[in-house]
Amino acid sequence: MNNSAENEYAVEVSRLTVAYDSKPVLSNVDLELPRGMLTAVMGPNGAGKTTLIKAMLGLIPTVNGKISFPEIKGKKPCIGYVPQSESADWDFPVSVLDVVTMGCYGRLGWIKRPRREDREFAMECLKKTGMEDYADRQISRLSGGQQQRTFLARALAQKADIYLMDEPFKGVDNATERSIIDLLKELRSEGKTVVAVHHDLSTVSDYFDWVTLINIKVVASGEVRKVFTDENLTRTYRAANVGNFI
Amino acid sequence: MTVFKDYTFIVVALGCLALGGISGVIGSFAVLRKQSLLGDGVSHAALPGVVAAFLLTGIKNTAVLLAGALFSGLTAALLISFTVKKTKVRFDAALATVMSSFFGLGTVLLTCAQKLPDATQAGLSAFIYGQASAMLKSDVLLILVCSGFLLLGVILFWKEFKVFSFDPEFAVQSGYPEKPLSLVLSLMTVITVILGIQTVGVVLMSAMLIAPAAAARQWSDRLSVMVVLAALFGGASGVLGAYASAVGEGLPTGPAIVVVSGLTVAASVLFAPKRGVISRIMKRKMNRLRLTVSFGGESKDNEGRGNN
Amino acid sequence: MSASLEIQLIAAFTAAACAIPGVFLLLRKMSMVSDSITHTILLGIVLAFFAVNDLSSPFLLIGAAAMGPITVWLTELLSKTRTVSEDAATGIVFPLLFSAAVILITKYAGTAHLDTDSVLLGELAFAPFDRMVIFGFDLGAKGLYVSGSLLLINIVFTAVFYKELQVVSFDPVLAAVMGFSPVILHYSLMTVASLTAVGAFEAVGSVLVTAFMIAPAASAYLITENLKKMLFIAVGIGLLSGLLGYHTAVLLDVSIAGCMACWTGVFFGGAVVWNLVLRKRKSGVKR
Repeated sequence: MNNSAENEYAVEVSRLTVAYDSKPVLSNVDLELPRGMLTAVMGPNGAGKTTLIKAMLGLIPTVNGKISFPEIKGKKPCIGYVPQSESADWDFPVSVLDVVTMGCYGRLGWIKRPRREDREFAMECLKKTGMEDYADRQISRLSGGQQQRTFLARALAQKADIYLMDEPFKGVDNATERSIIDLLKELRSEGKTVVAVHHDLSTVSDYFDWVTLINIKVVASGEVRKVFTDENLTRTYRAANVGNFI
Repeated sequence: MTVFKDYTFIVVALGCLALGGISGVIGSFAVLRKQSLLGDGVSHAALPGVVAAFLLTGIKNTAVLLAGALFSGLTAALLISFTVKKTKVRFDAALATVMSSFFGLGTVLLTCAQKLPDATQAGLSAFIYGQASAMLKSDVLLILVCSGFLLLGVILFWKEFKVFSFDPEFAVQSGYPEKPLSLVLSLMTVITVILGIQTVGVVLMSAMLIAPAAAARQWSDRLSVMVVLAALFGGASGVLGAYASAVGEGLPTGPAIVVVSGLTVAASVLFAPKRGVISRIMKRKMNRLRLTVSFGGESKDNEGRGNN
Repeated sequence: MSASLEIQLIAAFTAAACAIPGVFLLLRKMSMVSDSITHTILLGIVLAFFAVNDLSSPFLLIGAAAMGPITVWLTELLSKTRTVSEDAATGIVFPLLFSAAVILITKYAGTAHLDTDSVLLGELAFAPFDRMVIFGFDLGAKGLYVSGSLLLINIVFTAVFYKELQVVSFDPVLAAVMGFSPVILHYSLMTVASLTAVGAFEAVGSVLVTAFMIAPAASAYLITENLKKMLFIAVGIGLLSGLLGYHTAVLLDVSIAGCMACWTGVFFGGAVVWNLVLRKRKSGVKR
């Protein structure tokens, strides 16, 4: 492992293997994802993309392998998580502002309550995603795109260094998509790292710098212009790969 | 083995057999529709009906009390259904709310009944714990007849129930009438619960509906096989429980049946091929072996670093 | 303090104390767990009794309270095998444990009088007769101190860990990522709920604890879209149900706990109607 002063990689994955019962979902994954760049994780259904994100968050048991987030200026990086909007309980009695304020909880630690400056900071994050008018609205009254932007604002409130996103553009309208990608590019200019599970092949070259093609195993990972080739795409999306892991 | 020649035992065992069997069958649909605890709810909600029937008619006849139970059980089921459909309150919360307030009403009525000259406290105990050992031939006859009708209903509506239980959205899209079907299934569940309360009582009724079906599910993915197995498991639990109660002095029947049922579930969950826990653990171990062998390296049995 | 006032306070405190954990149980889709743990309390009592062989030992209540988290753990163990669904697991585990308790009682506790009826039903009317006597001073009904302490514990627990409970109930993944262990919070909540159930069952019996935990929470759920308000409203409905329940019961000469539970049901019915009327009016205005 590279122990230089400022590690150029934000996420390092080595020999990661995850299996549900007897079926492998990720097999011997080796990855080094660059800091300060927008990385897309792509692959067919069941290829293990969401599993990779969840493994990075430490949420699922693994058969083998190690995931590490090299320190930034001697400190452990903060990981922000933007889930798919279907995974949330939208009838929960919280407002948009409440949800975003939750992003500050990690910094507060146990027992300490959110202060006024935390709530003000949450409003700032809402402004960045264009949701400030919805601050007091209960979350079930939002459209899909608005829900996505709420979660994004929450990750911003976490003051994360690394943003892990699960299909941030799924089910959002074009205007929302543009505003999200603008925000991501702004994050990049601040030196933040974004790793997003992405589904739309046509937008990869415009939106992302780095792409990781996965189909249970890593097919290819690197700069978009080098890796995003027809040959690699065929290898990734070819159905025969699934299950053929030995 | 003289117990087998005992008339009372035969009556009780037959009743438990029938109840266990039909609970398994109807319970299969409840479990598949993720409404397992409906049995628990309906059995508690039946109390006000039972007491009201007694208060209104002055008769302590089983059929009358059961009719009262049926009425209040069905009302509760309808209220729950309505709440879930029309508000954001979910099934489990609606169930808990309706069943406990109904039970509260039942205890109020009970204290009314206790003030009457010929009322006895024993009624409530029997309701809560069941009184299988006090089953009469007439009770068993009622159970057999009702079970017969329920079984007939299941056979007649087999196709509809099957689709509706596995994939209600598809059923609606395919034109199956959702409301009547749901109503019929709920009605059948309520009837089964009311019948079963006599054997195992209110608290344990949910296990009667769920356990045989849950056990059966481990052995087959096909509904027909599952339902038949559930009937067998339920019936067997009933008989074995009745037998254990007969030979073990003072062992109450309801709990005995539930324990047997529970053991069936445990055995099925552990030992069933494919779905069973032991089978899956063995498969997983074999696969890890293959994975590590093929990569020629050490395998760390890393059971995860995060909360799950 | 008159017996009547004592009973009313116990009723009100008990209902209010139950409403608080009930809100979180409802939001976490664990409403029926309240029913589950109130039934398995019996097994905890029985096992503790076998350990100490003393019916008045406080160890009995500890055993009872411990049974709650244990029941939840066993239920989750079963559902984690992914062979049965969560609701099915609930409906198998608690009857099994309850059956074990009943069998143990009838077979082995024959001499000791464990009144299972009063476990299930409780009786508030007798509460004033059980006094709290310290150094010869009659400090009031014991039930008053029990229910008062429960209310205090719940208020303190919820106030101190409000944001943790909120985030863990809404998004356990985020909570885990931020370092708030969902497992610790989950079992802490279960322990508090279990403690509350044990304290409450003496007054109102097992089954009705569910009424005081879930029904006010469900009503509040329909009335407000804010978690803090939901807690306050649920407690308010609990208090009201306690007081109204007492007075109606005295009027009709029936079970106090039963009346209280009926009132929680009435409030829920009202909340449903309110919610439907409000929605109809809103959709009318939109047109």
